[in-house]
Amino acid sequence: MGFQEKSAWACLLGIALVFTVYFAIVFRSPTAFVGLFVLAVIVQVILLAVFHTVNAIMSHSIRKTGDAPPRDELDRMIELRAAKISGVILGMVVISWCIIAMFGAPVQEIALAKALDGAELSTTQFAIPLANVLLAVHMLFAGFVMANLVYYGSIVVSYRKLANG
Amino acid sequence: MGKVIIKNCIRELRFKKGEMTQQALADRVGITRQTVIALEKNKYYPSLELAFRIAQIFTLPLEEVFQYEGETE
Repeated sequence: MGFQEKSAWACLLGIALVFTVYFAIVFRSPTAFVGLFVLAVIVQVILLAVFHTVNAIMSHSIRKTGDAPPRDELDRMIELRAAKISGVILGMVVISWCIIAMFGAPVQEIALAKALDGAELSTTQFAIPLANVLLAVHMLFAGFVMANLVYYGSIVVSYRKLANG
Repeated sequence: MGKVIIKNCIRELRFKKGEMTQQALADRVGITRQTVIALEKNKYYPSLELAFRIAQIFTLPLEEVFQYEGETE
């Protein structure tokens, strides 16, 4: 397994591990994200730093030359293909999120008006509860994380296909 | 339009050139060993630039290293 593939595996597993726990918590309590987000980023950085250090120490090429092996045209092609796939996924997530938000907000407004005994509710009075807004933001962020997982997953799949035929 | 088939004889040429290792060839042309393996298994077709660099290592014309075999149906 090459250096670039190992790096992709590390990113894939690191993101999956850290952000599965992160989203499991914030989807239950959407307001409890501030400290948790910082912690998730720190854990992610530490995990990747440890892995890349171990990867570098164990890499024959780095031991020999002192530098990481260069990314060649095949590596770049694999990365471009992965970026294209994850870009499509991210685009679909953002568009879906926009459509859901555009239709979801009026539904919430109607629900709120009903809760207030059918009182006339102008758009200026309408307010979405903070927890719902944060949940929507977490969903959008989850889409971004998912696109990243797809990116590294595609890289890993491409290298595996090359190795196994 | 089918898939283009390009064969190469990098593996044979490496052995003819003093049993050059895949890593040695990779180092000389500036690619990874993984790419040399993919090239030898015909799983990856190189860019024109890389193809010329490989041919230059073996001091052979391009068409003696890479052969166009047509397209699949």
